Amino acid sequence: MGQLAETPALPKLDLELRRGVLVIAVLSQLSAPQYGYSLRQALAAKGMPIEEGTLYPLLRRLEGQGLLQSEWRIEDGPPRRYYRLSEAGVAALRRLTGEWRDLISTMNGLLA
Amino acid sequence: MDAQTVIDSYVRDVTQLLRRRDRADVGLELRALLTEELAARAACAPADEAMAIELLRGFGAPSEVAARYRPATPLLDAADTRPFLMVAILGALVIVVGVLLAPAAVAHPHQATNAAIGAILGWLGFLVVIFAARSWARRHWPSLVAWRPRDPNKASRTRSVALVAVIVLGVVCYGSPTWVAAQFTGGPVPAWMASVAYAPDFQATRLPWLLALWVGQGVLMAWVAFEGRWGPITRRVEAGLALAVSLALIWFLAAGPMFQATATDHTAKAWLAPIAIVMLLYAGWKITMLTRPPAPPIQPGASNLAT
Repeated sequence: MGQLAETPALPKLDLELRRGVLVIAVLSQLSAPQYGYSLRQALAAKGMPIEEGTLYPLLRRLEGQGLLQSEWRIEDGPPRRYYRLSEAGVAALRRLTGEWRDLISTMNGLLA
Repeated sequence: MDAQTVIDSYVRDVTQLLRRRDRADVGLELRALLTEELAARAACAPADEAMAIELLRGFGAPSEVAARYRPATPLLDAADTRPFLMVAILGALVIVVGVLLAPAAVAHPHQATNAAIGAILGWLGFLVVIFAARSWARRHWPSLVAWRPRDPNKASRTRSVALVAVIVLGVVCYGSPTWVAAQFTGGPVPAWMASVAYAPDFQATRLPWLLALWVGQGVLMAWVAFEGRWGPITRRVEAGLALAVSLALIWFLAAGPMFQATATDHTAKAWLAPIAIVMLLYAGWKITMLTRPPAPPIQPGASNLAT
């Protein structure tokens, strides 16, 4: 175990594991509109910290794929771009949630 | 420099790498988000330049961030990196050695160096275009490059016959250039043929060896076309003939003049040097393949995992 903790590849493996769940984590929090910074805070508060340099570009890519829609709003503060799920995003989240639960079940069986 | 100026500079560097139509929108959003991040980090105290630089370094280099916003399709496939480097280095070595061996290199070393640099850059540019086209084709027509089982000993009859035709043409053109020219002109040999006349000694003692080797290669390819397969003997003969041809070319370079006209002889040897090197490398590769033990057949159920 001590050897494993010193393995240089371990942080990379950990990163790859987390990278796989980023999209579903982000989609899960965008049923209500959020802007980049508030979304990052919300995810961190729920135990899923995501680096800003990863999250902000990801939001734009998901919007480009039609899973999110966005608009600029000026409320109490500077102009901010708010993102929320599009119809395709809602469908994608539903499907990914199902796959995630199947995966958890499978992995629990493997790791038991 | 104040913190906001640092952020603006960073945002500008990122957006310059994006598509023109995305720049303003992404820039506005990125600037707002980074400003908010910095304000949160600074808490009550005003943010300074050092804090802004620390934040932005953590965010990533502008090129990396721009790539995250819009992942670009690579020009060359990552899997091609090793073949590209191998071919590029091999080609560059052939060019350098070829230029060094050219008789003109001794008299004009500066020009030879410039020629070598130009040829290497041209070679690298050519390779980039070829590999980029290959990567593009893989993405657009995946069915064309789909893996198919291949019998390494199966010979393409079309290719073999085409090679026989090329060899016959080479033997005729190099063996009797004046006769070929006369066929085109319908009688008299054109005056310019005097400039490519062989040196008598070369024509009498060295050229026949090359022609004989080419005839041998032609007979071999005709046999392979007839059989439709390569066998252990034909593989050995092929490697032996390739080695003999490359050695004959090196002999031509080292021995006396090939052509009567000095300028023609220098030009021909300048071209012949890299060709001889490539042929020698090709022969070496063929011989290596002969001595390599065949891969063991894969047994059903066999595994390379340690148990």
